[in-house]
Amino acid sequence: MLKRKEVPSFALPSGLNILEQKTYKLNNGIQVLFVEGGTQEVAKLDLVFAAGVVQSPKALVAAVTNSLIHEGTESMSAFEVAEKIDFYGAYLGQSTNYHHAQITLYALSKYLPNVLPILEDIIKKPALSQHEFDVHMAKKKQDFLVDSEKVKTLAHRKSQEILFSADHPYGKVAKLHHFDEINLQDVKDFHQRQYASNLCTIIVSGQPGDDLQEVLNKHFGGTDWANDTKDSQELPTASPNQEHFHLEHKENAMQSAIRIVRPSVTKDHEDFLPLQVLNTLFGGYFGSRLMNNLREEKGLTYGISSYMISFLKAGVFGISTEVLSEKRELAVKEVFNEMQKLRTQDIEEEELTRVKNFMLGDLMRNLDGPFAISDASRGLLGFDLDLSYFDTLEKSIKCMTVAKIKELANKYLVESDFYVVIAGK
Amino acid sequence: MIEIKKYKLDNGLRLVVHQDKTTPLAAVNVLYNVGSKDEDEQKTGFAHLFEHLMFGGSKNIPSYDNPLQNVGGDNNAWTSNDLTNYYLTLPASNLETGLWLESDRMLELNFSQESLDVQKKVVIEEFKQRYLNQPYGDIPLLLRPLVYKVHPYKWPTIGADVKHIEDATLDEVKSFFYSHYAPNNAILTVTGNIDPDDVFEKVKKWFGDIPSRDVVKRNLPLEPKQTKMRELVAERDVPSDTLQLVFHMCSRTDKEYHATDLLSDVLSNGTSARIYQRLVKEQKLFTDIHAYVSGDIEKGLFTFAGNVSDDVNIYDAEKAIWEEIKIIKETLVSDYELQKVKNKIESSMLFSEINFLNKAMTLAQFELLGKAEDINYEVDKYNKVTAEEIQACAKSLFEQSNCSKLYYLSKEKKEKGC
Repeated sequence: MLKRKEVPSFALPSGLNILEQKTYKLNNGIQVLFVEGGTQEVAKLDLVFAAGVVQSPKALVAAVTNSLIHEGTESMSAFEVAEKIDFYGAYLGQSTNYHHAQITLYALSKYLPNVLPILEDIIKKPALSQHEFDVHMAKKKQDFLVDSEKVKTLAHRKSQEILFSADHPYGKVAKLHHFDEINLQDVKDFHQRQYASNLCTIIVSGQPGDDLQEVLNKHFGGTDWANDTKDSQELPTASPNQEHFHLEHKENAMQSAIRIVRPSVTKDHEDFLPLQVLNTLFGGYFGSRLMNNLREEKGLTYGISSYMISFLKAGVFGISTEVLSEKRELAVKEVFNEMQKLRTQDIEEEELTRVKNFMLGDLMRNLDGPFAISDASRGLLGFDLDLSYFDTLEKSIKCMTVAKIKELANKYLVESDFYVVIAGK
Repeated sequence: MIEIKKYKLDNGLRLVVHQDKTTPLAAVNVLYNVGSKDEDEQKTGFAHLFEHLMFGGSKNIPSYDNPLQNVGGDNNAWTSNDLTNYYLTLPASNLETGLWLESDRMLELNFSQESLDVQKKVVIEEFKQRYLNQPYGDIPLLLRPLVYKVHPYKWPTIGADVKHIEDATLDEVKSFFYSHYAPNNAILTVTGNIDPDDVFEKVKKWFGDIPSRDVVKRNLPLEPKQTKMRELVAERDVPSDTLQLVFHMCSRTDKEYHATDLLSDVLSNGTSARIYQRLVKEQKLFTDIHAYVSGDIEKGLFTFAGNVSDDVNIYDAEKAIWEEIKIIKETLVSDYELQKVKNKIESSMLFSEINFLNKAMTLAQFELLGKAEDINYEVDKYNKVTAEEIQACAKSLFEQSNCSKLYYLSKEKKEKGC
């Protein structure tokens, strides 16, 4: 007879058993991180430069430069570049954050010899033409205006400004007038200064072929693209706002976006990994305290989550949700109630075990396959950390106790440390 | 090449298994052959609301999520016009927990008024968050009833109206379950680090005694052929104008589907594609533009959607799209351009087959369309398409009388007199 009420027996695998990462240097000193594996003959290459917002003298310049380099080179038009990449079934992507800019290439391994010369040209000899600059800026300006209609975006921008102040790179959010204040020369200068071999790290994953090192040396290992820019990631001290409640008015908004944020620790701080367990329990997964209270019990929102972000020099602990405007006070109150519960009441062992097991499974998902591992290691760049970080995370999860959760809650989930930002009517 | 094994249980449940030993994980995907097209016109949004209720506990298991999280698993679901799809991933060694959970909610849900009341509120907030409180978010709500007059694709999955969701009753929920959720109306796929025959034994154990049910026979009204162009103008508080041109096209299972899909790729797949290069880069009429096919199981839609540049009149921008349409109707696509879009298809198929969960979902969909094995012949089907077939598609699709237009205008831009 089938026992449907009984949970089938289960076990969680121990140890991470992830693919190994190799590291070596190209002839010119560029550090290469390489994870080999996967089911398909494909490869992913990330070229990461110290070319983020922190290095950029004006707003928008870092992101615009990283986009514009894809639009043609000294020897190929933007159309030719795009057509070749498309013809070989490859994809070129880019993203920019506070400290880094990265260019990502996905390609079938057999076509790497065809697309790598294009990637090399994009990075070393981009055209950076006025026409492409104008087209790009028109699009970005429209995107910016559309984003500015979203309460979620408004609340996020405001929260960064409050935590770090507008004269700090982390708090310097883009404004409409910035679009008129940058020109092509800014982009050219920034490319010249920050896209150099001495500021570059390469991450490769998948099955790129046996001659990878040789191929990388051919395209990126020369001394032809070095300069004397220092890899400086220093920042002024942040000065958070004194006022703890902020309302961004948005006419006709049906829902209000809520951000409740505080300064927090960075990845290399000893509390960061244990705090991830508290964060998951509090608002980091579907079964979290916040989801249960605000969504599953009260139906106030489609979703609510808490999150931890670590930039290189500062961290943020935050809560994010969108709720009916009339219910926003209740929502904020409930978020702080849940903090208080964690500070004052011991959680049940059963709940802690569930969070731990969920996180161990999630760790497997996040490190499954070469591409996932390369993404994980990219997130560690700039910190003095390697993939053993995830072994430490596994240990932190397994060693978490009821008492430690309460201790962390009393340290990090203190109402007076938080800023409440609401965007809505 | 994806190797698969297929099984069928006596109660009609179809099982598709694919082993991938490079991952320590496994995925369980359950596709139910019910979507928003199966709803009553007065009770739209029901299939999606029901998806939420599937997480409220089942006959023998009070919580769906807790036991899954306990074994390191995670899950989610989505609903479309055609189907409802539930999926979970977990360490492969704990596969049985996933099958236990999925089988119990296929057996019988724990129908509770309380769960229904809360999930109605959640879905209404989802409605607002995704469709009403987002710039351009209500486009699907405007377009579908313009394009379809009779067919149930005329309402979006979230529903035509918040009121329909508010009015749902527990009796309707129960009757929906028994008329659509059944082993004989579902496809189960399991992928990852598992042994196919072992999976089959476990699936027989957990799903074998679920009775097959009388599933409502689908009898969808046919959309009459459109005979003249339709047009809708909407003014909203948005920063810029958006234009959509929508044409009726074939269904996912029709033989012209692959040629139609390639037609959209020639126009729009990748930054080197025609409309992006000419209308965004060269003529600067749009800041972004796409052409895409819906890929619906019933007859679907071919859409052009573009954001008009600030200093451009939307009617001038539209003319340029019709000009591109004229070119592709009159001139054969070159060999190089055709090869390029075929290469892109092959590449994107290969990349999509890296992830075991993706494979589980895709296999279920292919099984629903016909048979899961077809996934391995998909690239061939695209490769066989000729330039003449693409041209023929363009000619039959892009008729003025087959077109519905949405001018979604910025109030602010209008006030400025642009």
